[in-house]
Amino acid sequence: MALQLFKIADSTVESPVATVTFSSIPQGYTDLKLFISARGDAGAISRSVYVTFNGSSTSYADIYLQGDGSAASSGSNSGGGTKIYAGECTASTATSNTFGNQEMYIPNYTGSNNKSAATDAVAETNATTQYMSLVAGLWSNTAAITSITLVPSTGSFVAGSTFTLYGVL
Amino acid sequence: MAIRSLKSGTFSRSGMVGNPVIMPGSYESIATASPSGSTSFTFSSIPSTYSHLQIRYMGVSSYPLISSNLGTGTKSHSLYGYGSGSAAYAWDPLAGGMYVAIDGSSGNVSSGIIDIFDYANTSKNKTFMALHGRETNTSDSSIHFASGFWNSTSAITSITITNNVAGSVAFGTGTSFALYGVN
Repeated sequence: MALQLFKIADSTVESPVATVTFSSIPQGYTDLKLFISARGDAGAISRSVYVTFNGSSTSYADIYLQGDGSAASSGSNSGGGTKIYAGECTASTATSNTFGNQEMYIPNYTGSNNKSAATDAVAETNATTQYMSLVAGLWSNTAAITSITLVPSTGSFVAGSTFTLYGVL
Repeated sequence: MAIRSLKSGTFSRSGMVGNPVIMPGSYESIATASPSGSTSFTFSSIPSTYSHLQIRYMGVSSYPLISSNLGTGTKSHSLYGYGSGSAAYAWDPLAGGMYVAIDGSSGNVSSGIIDIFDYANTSKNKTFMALHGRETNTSDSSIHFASGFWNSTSAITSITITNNVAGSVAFGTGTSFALYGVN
């Protein structure tokens, strides 16, 4: 059967916002998929993006593999246990009008297991230094996911940033 | 035929017995290509009506490059591992074009996904993100995560994939690419 994606909700930032939340997520899909094309207003070439579920700020973990244009590195627990790292979006010193690409997959979001999330993210810009990340995240909580909140590490998401949540069958 | 409620997840019987249930999805096939024997191919006349584009592929390729109606790109980056998988590397490999993958062998089947978000948004420069893997059960296996940058806010209306930087090696037998629009 072909991949079936159904748009649940989308959000386009019209003026800078510090958080984006998808709430009242329907419980009838198998998995969730989140597409993010975002840019932050902080004074850097990129900014970390973090995700929390159901308003919770506990029991998160993550591990990542990252490239910066010249070297690869890895790390863990970037979210400090209070959120999941979801890679980098571009920020104010990146090339103008350029937004990051982030794609998060959340399988079995209604199941009674702990919840995992896999993220591919690139903050492509017209410069040698750029951050690209592959991230595995875990929320050690068996509750069904009913809301997703995204925040940049500092500052806000700028106008034109888009966030689209899909249900997968 | 049973209908599954997207809100509650419960199943119920259709009130229209015998009629197929059509659920409007957000993921639609735009075009496919089977370029075996060719060194490149183009998805042209891409409609601007979707939010995002995604290309899914499998087959035999060697250093495939992506270009578009916006040109060959001005910057690309790569994060990859190969061989025993004991180390990872990153670099900015733009030389002759933007690599979808840095895939050193033309003899093994690989697969991957290329995303182009907001491809028709004329307020954004265009970028892509691609994840590619090739497992051969030998030290020639690899995984590549790539991205690239077109310094233009124009909409993407065509995409060309060229099999290698020299353009002299054809895609192998069984290679297929599928372009999808995501609403």
